[in-house]
Amino acid sequence: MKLDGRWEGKLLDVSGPEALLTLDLAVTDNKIRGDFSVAFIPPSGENGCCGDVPRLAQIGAVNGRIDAKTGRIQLSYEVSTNLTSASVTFDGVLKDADPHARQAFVGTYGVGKGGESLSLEGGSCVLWQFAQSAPKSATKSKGKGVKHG
Amino acid sequence: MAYDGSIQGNWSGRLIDVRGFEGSIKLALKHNKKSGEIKGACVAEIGVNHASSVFRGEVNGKLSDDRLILELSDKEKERRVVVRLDGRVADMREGGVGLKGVFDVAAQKFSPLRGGVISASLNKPITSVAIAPEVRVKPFKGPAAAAKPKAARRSA
Repeated sequence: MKLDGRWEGKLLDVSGPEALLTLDLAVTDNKIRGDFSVAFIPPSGENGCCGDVPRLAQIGAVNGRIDAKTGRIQLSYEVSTNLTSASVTFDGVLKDADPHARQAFVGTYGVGKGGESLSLEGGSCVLWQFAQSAPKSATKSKGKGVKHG
Repeated sequence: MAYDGSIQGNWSGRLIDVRGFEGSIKLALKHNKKSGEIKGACVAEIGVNHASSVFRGEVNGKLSDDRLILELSDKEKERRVVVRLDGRVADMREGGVGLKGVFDVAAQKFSPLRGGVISASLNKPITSVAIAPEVRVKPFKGPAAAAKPKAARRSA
């Protein structure tokens, strides 16, 4: 399955916060490089009922690798604040997500020491690659969001 | 890494399915520490086309080290849906226990769930959720820039 291109999804932290996650990935010889952005979704009702706008919190470079034997994918990024730095590592696999999306990355993530400055503790995440997704340089993807119940 | 705390009690959390559905999940677990066996009940509610679908089931599972394997099976056995959760548990910084994991679904009849992820917590203290300030890390310049020697970059 092709990993290159834009991935959009959501992470659920065990401590409560939820965030939108976007990745633009390029794969060479099972090595992954790219950009990520994390935008926290304000807790419901913080800014009124329906006007909650995700707040961009982290952007930067992401690196990773694919285990060709098992299909497992590991991604990590490092964030530095004024006081400390912390790494966030994702571990997951690809799944068929038809008809919602072409495919999905499902997995969990952990936060290294210093993670308290990121408001993240660890949790799970789903990222989708939609049919129209393409590398950022080619076209800008119109992302489908998560369906809310 | 072995987890030696208690996972017994009422868990609550969120789930996302690869089909795009989101929902909530509640687990009531009893843990036999001697055998490692877990039994309990679960209720998962997911939104499907502006209506919600509720899954009530029995829970059976096992905790070994920090790995929690749970099988959630349809209580009425009507839909014959089995959700298999493969998760990890750990103490949270502010107290309580966190569970993160991925699940797969086996169903003989239609199930809106196919597989996805779960994050849940046990005995989480009620605190306001702090959202981190914006943090920007070094921009990604691509493999070509990374491979360029320092001297070449200085002269450029």
